[in-house]
Amino acid sequence: MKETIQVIIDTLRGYRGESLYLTWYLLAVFYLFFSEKEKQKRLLFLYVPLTVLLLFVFPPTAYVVIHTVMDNEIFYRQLWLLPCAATVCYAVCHAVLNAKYGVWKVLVCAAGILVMMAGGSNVFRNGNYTPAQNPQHLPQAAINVCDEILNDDVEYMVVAAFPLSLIEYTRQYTAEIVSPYGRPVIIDKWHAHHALYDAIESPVLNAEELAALARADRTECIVVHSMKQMDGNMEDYSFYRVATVDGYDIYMEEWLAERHNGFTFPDDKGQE
Amino acid sequence: MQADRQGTGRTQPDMPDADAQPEDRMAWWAWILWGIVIASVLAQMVFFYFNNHMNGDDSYYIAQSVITDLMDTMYQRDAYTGTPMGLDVRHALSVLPIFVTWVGRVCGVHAATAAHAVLGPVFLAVCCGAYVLLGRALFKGKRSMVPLFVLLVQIWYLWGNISIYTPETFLYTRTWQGKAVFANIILPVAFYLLYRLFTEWKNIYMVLLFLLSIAGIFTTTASVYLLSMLYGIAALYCLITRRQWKKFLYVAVCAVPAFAYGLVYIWLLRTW
Repeated sequence: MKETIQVIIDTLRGYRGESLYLTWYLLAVFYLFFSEKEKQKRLLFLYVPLTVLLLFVFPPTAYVVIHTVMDNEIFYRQLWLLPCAATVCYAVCHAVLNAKYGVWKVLVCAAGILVMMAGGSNVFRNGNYTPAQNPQHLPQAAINVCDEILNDDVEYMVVAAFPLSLIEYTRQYTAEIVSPYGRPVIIDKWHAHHALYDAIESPVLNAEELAALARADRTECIVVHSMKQMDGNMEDYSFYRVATVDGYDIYMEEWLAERHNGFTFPDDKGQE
Repeated sequence: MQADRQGTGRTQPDMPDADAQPEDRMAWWAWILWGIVIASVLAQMVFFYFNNHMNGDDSYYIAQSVITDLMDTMYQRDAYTGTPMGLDVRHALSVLPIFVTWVGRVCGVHAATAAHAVLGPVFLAVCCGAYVLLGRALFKGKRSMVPLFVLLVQIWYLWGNISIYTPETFLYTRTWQGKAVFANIILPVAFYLLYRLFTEWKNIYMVLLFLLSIAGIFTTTASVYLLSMLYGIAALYCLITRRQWKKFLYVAVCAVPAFAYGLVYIWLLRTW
C-alpha cells in the first residue's frame, strides 16, 4: 500500500508539473460548490469529478486500478476525467455573470485570464515546434536517405540499419525499408539493446565490426554519420558507399550496390 | 402597429412579445469574441499545418498507417522493424491508425501527411467545436456567454502545457493520436451529452452516448475503463440522488460497447 500511495503522489506531482493549474481547478470546484445551484451542473462539475478524484487518491481503489486496469505508467489518465478546462472556465463565466456592474464583469474576466496565464505554461514556448520541411512533417534528411536507399531497380525490401537521428522517422515515411531494430533500442526502460545499433552509435566506427554485425542481422544497408571517423574500410568487407545524403553515408552489400542507380564500383574493384 | 379592433379610431402600438428572452440576443461584444475565437482556431490550424512537433509514439502509429497503406494488411508486421509477425493482438483493435490510412487514401496523400497536416488541424477545430457544444448547453438562454466560455477554454488549453500528461499537452503535441482525441474530443462531448441527458431526458442523447462509447473505444483502449467509469459514476448518482432505477440502467447500458470491447480485448490477449 505504501508503494501505491507513492505512485499516487508521484502521479499527481508529475501531472501538475510546476504549475498552479490543479490549484485553480480545485478553487473553481470550491467556488461552484457554494455558488452553483443547478442540480445537473453540480452533478457533472462537482459530484462526478470529485468521485473520480476520490477513487484516484484512495489507496485501495488506486491499488486495484493500477494492478488490474492501468499500470503505473498510464495511471495519470484517470485524471483526464476531471473536466478542468470546462470547470475553471465555467466558474469564471459564472463569476462574470454574478458581478453586478459592467466594469466588475470585465475585471473578473481579465483576472481569470491572467490567473490562467500566470499559472500555466504556454505550449508554443516549449521549443519543440519546428517549421515543417515537407508535407509529411518528417525530417527531410530521413526522406532523402530513404529515397536514396530505394533508388534501384530491385523489387526488394531492403533491410537497413539507421543511426539514432533517423531511426524514428524512416518507417514513418516508407514501409519498403525494413530495419533490424526500431525505437525500442533508444528507450532505456524498454531494455532493448542491439549490437548493430550500438556499433553505429559508437564515437568511432569500426568497419569490421559493422560488417560482421550487419551480416549477422541480414542487414544489407548501413547508414552512418559522415562526420564520424571510421577504423578500417567498409569496402574490405564488401560494403560499398553508394551515396552521401544530408550528412549520412549509405553503405550497401555488394550485390545491392551493383543494382543501385548511379553507382559504379571503384576502379580497383573493376580490376579484380 | 395593431389594427383597431375595438373601434376606437386609434391603432395600438405593437406590444413586446412576453415570451422573448432578452438574454437570448447576442450582445455586440459576444460577436467580437466569436471573431476572436474563430481567428484563434484558424491561426492554430494554419500553424499546425506549417509546423510540426515530433513525437516518439508516431514511430509506431504512423509507421502502422504506412504499412497498412502500402501492404493492405493490418497489424501483421512489426511497426518498428517491418518484420512479419503474427497478429499484433495488443494493438489489433486500434482503429485510429487505420483511419489515418483511410483519410490518406481518400485525400490522396501520404499517411504521415494525413496524420500531421490534415487530421492534426482538423481535430484541433473539432475539439473547439466540442467545447462550443458544451458552452451552448451550459449557457442556454445566455448566448452571449458562449464565446467567452470558449475563448477562456482556448486560453486554458494554450497555457496548459504544464506537464507531458495533461489533455492540453496531448492536444497540441500529438493531436492525431487516439489518446489525444479521447481526452480532448470524446470526453468533452461525453460531458455535454450527459448534461443534456440529465436536463432533458430524451432518447436521442442516450443513443448518442452509446455511439460515443463506440467512438471512444476506437480511439484508445484506456477508454474502456475511463468512459465506463464516467458513465458508471454518473448513472450511480442518478440512483443515489433521484432513486431512478430506469435512468440508472439506461446510462449504464451506454457503457456496454466499452465493456464488450474490453472483454474481446482480454479474450484476444489470452487466447491468440
